[in-house]
Amino acid sequence: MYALVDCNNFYASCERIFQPKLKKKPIVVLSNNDGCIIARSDEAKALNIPMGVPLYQIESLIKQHDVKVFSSNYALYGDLSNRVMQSLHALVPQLEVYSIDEAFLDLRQMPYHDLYAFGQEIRQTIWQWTGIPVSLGIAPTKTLAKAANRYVKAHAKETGVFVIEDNFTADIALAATPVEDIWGVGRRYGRFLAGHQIQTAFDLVQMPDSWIQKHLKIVGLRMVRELRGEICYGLELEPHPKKGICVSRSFSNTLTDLSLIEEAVATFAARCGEKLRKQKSCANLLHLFLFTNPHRENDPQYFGSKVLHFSAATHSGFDLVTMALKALKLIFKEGYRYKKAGVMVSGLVPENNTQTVLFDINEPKRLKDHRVFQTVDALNRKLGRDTIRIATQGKGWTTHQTQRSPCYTTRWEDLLVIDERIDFRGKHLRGLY
Amino acid sequence: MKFTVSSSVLLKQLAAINGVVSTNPIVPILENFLFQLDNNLLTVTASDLQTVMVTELPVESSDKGAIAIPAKLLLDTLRGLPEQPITLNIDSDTFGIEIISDNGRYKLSGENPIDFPKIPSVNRAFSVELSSHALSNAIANTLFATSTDELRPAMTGVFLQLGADYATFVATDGHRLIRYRRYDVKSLVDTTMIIPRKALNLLKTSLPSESVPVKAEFSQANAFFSFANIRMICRLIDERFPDYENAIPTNNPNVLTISRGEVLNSLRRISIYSNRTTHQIRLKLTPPNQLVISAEDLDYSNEANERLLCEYNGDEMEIGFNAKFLIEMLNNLDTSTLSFELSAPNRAGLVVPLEKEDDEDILMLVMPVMLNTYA
Repeated sequence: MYALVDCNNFYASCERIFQPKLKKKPIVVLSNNDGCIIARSDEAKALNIPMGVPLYQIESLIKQHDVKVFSSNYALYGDLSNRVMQSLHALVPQLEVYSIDEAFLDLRQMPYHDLYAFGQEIRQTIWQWTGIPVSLGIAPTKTLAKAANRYVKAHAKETGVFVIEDNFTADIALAATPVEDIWGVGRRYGRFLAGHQIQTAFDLVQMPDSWIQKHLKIVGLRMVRELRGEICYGLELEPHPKKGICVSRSFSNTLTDLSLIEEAVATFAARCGEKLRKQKSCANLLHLFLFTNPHRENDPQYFGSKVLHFSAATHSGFDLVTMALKALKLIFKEGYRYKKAGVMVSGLVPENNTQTVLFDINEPKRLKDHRVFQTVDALNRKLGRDTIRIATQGKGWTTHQTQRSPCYTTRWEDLLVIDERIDFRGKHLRGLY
Repeated sequence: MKFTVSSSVLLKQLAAINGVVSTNPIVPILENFLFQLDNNLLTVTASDLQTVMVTELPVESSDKGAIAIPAKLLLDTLRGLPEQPITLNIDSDTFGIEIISDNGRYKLSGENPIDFPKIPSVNRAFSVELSSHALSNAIANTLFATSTDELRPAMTGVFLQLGADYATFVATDGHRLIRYRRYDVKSLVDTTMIIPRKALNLLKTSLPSESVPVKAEFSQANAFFSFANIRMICRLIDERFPDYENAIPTNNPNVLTISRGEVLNSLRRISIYSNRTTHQIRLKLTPPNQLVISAEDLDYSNEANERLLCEYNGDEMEIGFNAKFLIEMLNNLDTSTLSFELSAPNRAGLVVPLEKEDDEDILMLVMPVMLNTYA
């Protein structure tokens, strides 16, 4: 049996841990640059605040119901996610971290016969250890576990656990799962299936294999087999090394000035370098894209994109920034209001196995750069990101976030102070004690 | 205008030049063949603006005129017809075309021949004669090593260096380099040029299997090749080729001599177990006679190694290569024994065949994959 553990309204729950007064209050979390709603607490969902809606469209609703709004604080979410995963690790022999708030657990070797009770125990423990509420779907396959988890959220919120242990329980969960919510069915296949009168997962598993393979291909057939209880996907215990790394952000204000866009692009490229060095890879290709805001239909629209090859694979920040700026010169056009840019590196190879090249005048420089960036990375880890940076990055390029909560768990300055008389260094704030 | 021709003769000539016609050209007119009729002589031209191919064939006619005919439509029709005389009836005002066969009529519409781009002419008399055998060998030995990186245009073609003693063809993609010399191709004038890979590819497929003389003429911007009744004109790449002579190491004290077939088969087996992006394999050389080829893919816990007998004079050393490059290079050699000449694990390795044709000389160079770049 597999279990899917999913944190309930993860981002909203994270914000709540350190501000217990927000319990039972509606909370929403915003995307980068405070643009759209990307997470809602149950109370906010009850107010019919839709997912992904831009903040400005629901401002009156927010005021009327006193909804608490947060900018996204990924340092906090990442750290709390880590805590949840580590706690799970202590409870089960093997798990696959599937996303920031989901993990598959391997319960095949578990001594517990009463999986429902074990599920409850996990829920209790995670709640007690981290303060994050979770739901569990337990089933013979990963796809069914996903469906069971979805069933919990829609129909069994109070208990928080649903176990598919026989055909009866499987049918209940499948009949309650609309096709477009099945793990692996996207919007396009969802529409296609609805056109064939297939509304729920239960309808789908009744279809003959040949029909499924013809229309949904082999991946679709695997999915249906999994829904019928045959294991087609095992746990992926080791994360695969990334095939490509992308750093892209929307600008908080539209930019028209080349020098400002240069700062942003240089920052993205430098960030790619940091990530490359962290996973000990070098990149062969750099892809830069830059575009205007497609929602502003009255503005002239432009989408620029360019892929450049490095003469030899590299992870030097200098090489990456130089190449990104070269690409920018090739695609930048005056007179547009740019909204978003991004740098993607691909053709990744292990840093220790790079192909050498003929006519390479940069080889000694790359070896030197390697030493430079080892030092830069070490210093930035200690003193804070971008303390040492390439001058083109400007003063440090950040997103626009006005309502971010403190990084309670990852920054000393933000550590929660319980006794206000003493700050975190043990210094007395009032001279009376 | 009207002419009669054997369907199979016309098909054969059109097929020889059809490679130039791209399916979705920048200018729609280039989807057509240009037919130019001068009494008994029909000239057909295909072009993609960079490369032009022209063929001539005799037909039965007493007319003069020109028309552009859709290439795919015409070829598909001819391919479906059994051998027989066909007549093409062309209305020069409406550009309507009627093909008349034994038992059918096919109507299609052509385009105004005026729109077809003009062919550059030879404006500087400077030419070289060579055999089609020499030319096709030179292309086959170098073309695979050209680069596809359009940002380094010089490397997307084959560099040709003509001189009084021999002609040198060089191709490189930055990771390997092939130098192919022909001692039977000589020129009174010393000159160099870069011929684009697409043109050479077309030339390779249209050169006849039997050896015929080829006349190559060069002007500042174009190259002209003519053989049998076909002519090809291509624009040269106007770039500076990298200084390849200095990239070829001269002092390579470690020499490995081995059977080409054995090492090639071993590389094919070992490379299955190599990393799927880097294709890295490792050669471990121990004097006097041992070569171990190994590979590993840490992502999938795959690894393999083989021990081969060889002749090795030099220091014990380990060097990494991209197996795909080595396999492709060894595949292109026509020799039973070859030698690897090496100096250090971070310096280029040379591959030299021990048997070759009298008039040729081949040298292949490949850059290693670092076993420990930043150690």
